[in-house]
Amino acid sequence: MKLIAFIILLNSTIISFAQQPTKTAVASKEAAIVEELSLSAADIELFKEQTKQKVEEFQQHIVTIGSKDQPAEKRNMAEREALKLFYVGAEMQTSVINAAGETTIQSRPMEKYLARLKSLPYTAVVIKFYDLVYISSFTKGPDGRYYSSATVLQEFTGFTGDNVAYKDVTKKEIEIVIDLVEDKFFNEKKWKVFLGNIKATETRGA
Amino acid sequence: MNLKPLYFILIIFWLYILATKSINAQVTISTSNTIETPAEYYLNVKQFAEFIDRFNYTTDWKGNVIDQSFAEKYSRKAYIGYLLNADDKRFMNDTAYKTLCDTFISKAVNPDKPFGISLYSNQVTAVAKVNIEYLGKPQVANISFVPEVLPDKSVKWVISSVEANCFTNISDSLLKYFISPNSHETGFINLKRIENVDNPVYYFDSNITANPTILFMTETAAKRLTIKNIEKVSYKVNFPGWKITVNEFVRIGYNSGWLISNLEQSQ
Repeated sequence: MKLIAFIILLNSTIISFAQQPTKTAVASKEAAIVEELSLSAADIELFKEQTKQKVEEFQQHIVTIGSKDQPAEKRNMAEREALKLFYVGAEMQTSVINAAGETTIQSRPMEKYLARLKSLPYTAVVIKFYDLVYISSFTKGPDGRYYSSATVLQEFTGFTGDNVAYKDVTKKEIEIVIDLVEDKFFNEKKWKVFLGNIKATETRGA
Repeated sequence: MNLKPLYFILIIFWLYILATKSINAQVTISTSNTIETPAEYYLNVKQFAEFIDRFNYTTDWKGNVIDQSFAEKYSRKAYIGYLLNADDKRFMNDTAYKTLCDTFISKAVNPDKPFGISLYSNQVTAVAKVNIEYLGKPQVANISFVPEVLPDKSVKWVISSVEANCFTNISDSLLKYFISPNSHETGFINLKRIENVDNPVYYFDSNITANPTILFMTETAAKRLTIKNIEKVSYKVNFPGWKITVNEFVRIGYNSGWLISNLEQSQ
């Protein structure tokens, strides 16, 4: 068993070192970004690509957490992994606008939102995301981090037996924070994308 | 403004979107969990940033930088026209407002002095309708925010003013906490009283004690006010001689998202 663990560790270390030149190249490029007052088109593309990947990761976790046909262990793991994408203290604010134009707003810590997603009162839940993601430009904040927001569209269907009990399309505005964090392994700083607060607005009810 | 051509051209745009592949600010994600985005969501103005880009005629419906071929098909004049809330009843029965909109758009696209929006040049104010709880009761405050650019070119939003009608209780405290009229003869010794009140604002002049922005600040510091949630946000954008209001219209259709809800001439 120890031998297997050692081989896995060795393998992952080799893979990590194999990736090192790329990481170093990216890190030195990123370090230069700190000194700049405005971002170049290449920097923006780099951030945009990282943001896209992070949003995609979040979407995949949401789908897994909501899927009642998945094993509980897998859903719990997706919940834990999804939380790692967020800044501590991130909140989810949901707004539902009824036919009369009245708005109901509810805010929950991200932990509670994700936990609640596992226990919705439907026999089956299908969550799909539209393939469109709008990412705004990145703006430097006073703390040196870069801020943006991404818009995604989620289609939610809750079933009771074979019948659709609830369906909506929700627009989610996700705060994006790009922070320079220390990679202790490589002893260098690198930009990392975090997700922040989310504002969700239901755009279409069934 | 006749809206039938507007809808017709929106359909043309939809066909254009289907025909184009490349994207910039709007990216597509392809996984087993994603489905094709319905066309109306491309046309939907999803963020205020997208509203600005479209108003400035810098990006097309899919977030691409506007190129010659797009510009040949769709003028800036028409493009700004689609940023108006097409469901505004004034387009049906208010000729003066329709004329006002046409005049504004003509001014905006005037090649000699076109209008543009810059988020960071004192042109934009965001107004948030905020549900608060003050002294245990639900209240509403309208909080205005403006972007502030710092010397290192970083940016933050700052509160520029607060409007609220809930700070009436303070008048009782003003009768209780004050510096007595003859205090000057004793060298204002009783200024020390300011240390022992829940809100030092009581000792300031009436321009300050009646100012909801300051009271919002001091009552929040005194932990008597909490923010419940933000109900809605709108933007006021100023141009020379003009002022527009941008609101989010949450609805299905090609004319949705962040749109101009009102425009007026200003001094």
